[in-house]
Amino acid sequence: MTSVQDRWSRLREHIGRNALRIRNGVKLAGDSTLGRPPQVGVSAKSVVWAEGRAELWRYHSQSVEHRVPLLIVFSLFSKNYILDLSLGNSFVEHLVGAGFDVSMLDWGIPDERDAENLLGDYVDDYIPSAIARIRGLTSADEVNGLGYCFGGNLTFLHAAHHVDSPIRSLTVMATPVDFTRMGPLTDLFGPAGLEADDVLDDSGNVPASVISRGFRLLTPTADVARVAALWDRLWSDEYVQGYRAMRMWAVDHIPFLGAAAPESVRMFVRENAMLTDRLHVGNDAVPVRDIRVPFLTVLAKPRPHHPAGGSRAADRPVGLDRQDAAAPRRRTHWSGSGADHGTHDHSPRHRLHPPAFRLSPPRLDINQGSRRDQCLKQSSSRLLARRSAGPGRVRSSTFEPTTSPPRWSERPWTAYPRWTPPRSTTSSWAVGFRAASKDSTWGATSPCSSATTTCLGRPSPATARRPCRRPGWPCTRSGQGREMPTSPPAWRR
Amino acid sequence: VTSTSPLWRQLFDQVDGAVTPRAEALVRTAEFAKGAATLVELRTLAHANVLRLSARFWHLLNLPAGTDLLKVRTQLGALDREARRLNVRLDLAEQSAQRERTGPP
Repeated sequence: MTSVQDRWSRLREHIGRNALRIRNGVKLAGDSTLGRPPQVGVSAKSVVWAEGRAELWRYHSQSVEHRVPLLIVFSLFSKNYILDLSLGNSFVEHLVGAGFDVSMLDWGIPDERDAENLLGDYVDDYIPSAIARIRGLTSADEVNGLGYCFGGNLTFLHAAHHVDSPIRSLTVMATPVDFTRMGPLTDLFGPAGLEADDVLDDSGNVPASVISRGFRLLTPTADVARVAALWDRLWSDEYVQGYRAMRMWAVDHIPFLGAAAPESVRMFVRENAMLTDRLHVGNDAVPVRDIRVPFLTVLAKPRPHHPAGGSRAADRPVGLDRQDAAAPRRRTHWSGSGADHGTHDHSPRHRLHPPAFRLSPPRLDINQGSRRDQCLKQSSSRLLARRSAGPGRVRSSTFEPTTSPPRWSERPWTAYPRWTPPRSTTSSWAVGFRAASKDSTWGATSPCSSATTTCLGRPSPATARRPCRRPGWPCTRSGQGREMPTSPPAWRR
Repeated sequence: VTSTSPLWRQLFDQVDGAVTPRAEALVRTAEFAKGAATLVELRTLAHANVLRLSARFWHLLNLPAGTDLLKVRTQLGALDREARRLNVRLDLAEQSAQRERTGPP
């Protein structure tokens, strides 16, 4: 009898799902045929600064709780609505809801007028201007920097090139560091010897189609798998909505700057300068170890656009002085997967500490709008919140070390000491902590929330002596930005 | 994949699990990179030759070719960049001077 009932309920579920599949399939095909893109980037914002194609967006907020504003620097390869995908599934929306004053630097779509732009234009001109504008609007002394993807590389360069830049903390998300592990996209320009000039189009830029094809090469069977997954979950309205937005973003790249392309290929790909510490901006060498602000790396893996390993060493070269045990600054490496915990330097000389703890959570993809996505957003914003609150440039530890080993806990943000420096000559130490397991807002456990922190050392003597390359930071400029509708303009969809 | 997945999905995942690593390994080989780079270079070479022939034809008629317009656009782009950088730096200098006058915010 039970078996019959089970079969009947399964049949009903099967029929119901297939009916939903047909409905959603027709809707999907209709939207695709009629060219109706999904609504993305819908958080309310204003344009508060613009220069060329670059614009600074300031998101509207009802109540700002953290006094230090947050500047998001986006990538030069793709469009930034991935961070503001849809209502209820938006990183920006979550940050605004968490009380941050969020601004985003959007680079627009480069054309032939941008073909001569170099990375230095962004590092030395646009980012400082955006910071100055935010400081003027908010009367804050400093801003928190958050770089996404290649925007993380730009903020890296900026923080290293301008050691006195008014950045309170620097966070990079999904930022590629080890470009030798980026797969075919960089292999073409590395071992194969292709020159960036060979892929420039008539506008003098690297066309978006080339970038899109390069990213698709990273996962050559992803298109087929995506169709299979879509058919499997076509009955789910939520999945279809997310699929449409993600599908659009995955192929919605922007041209890369023609003059910056050879510069990037030489520096990032052939010299692997993020790891070898041979970064340059213009003619200036910019040692990444000069970055002295609190630093956080957020990884989520696997992502098709970031092969495993491409981002994992992001915090390795940053201003670490292992001889200084008393340095108050710290950096944080945060990863969404248990396999990535700890500091990812496998050479004995650089090994700082063992992995904090091993978890085996499901795969984390910040773009899927899943529960894990929520806990990533939740945990990232909490980390940022700690850095934004309170006086002083460097926030002292808010952890409460205990002698317990790391273990699953229901307590919010409980910290555990998990490694003690074996010798006084080693200054690095680490704390593993867990995000809130239960959260009233999100109502979900956080299996992916974990992190490690290590001390940042004092700047090297050379760094301390080196004068700022950009003295006299600007301060305020009055004026209100023009209002922007809550929905993005047509060209951005 | 859970055991509750439909049969077609289980079969697909099995095939996908077998094919995908090989495909990804293939595109990460040096041979693939060299082959792709050669294709791109050949395409660039062909495109450049077509442009050169086309430009020669239009120049015979004493008319500007597309490549001439591209050069002008590039030069205009470079000028535009210089103007933008000057604008940004002037703004920064102005704000810096204002800050020095009024003190920190």
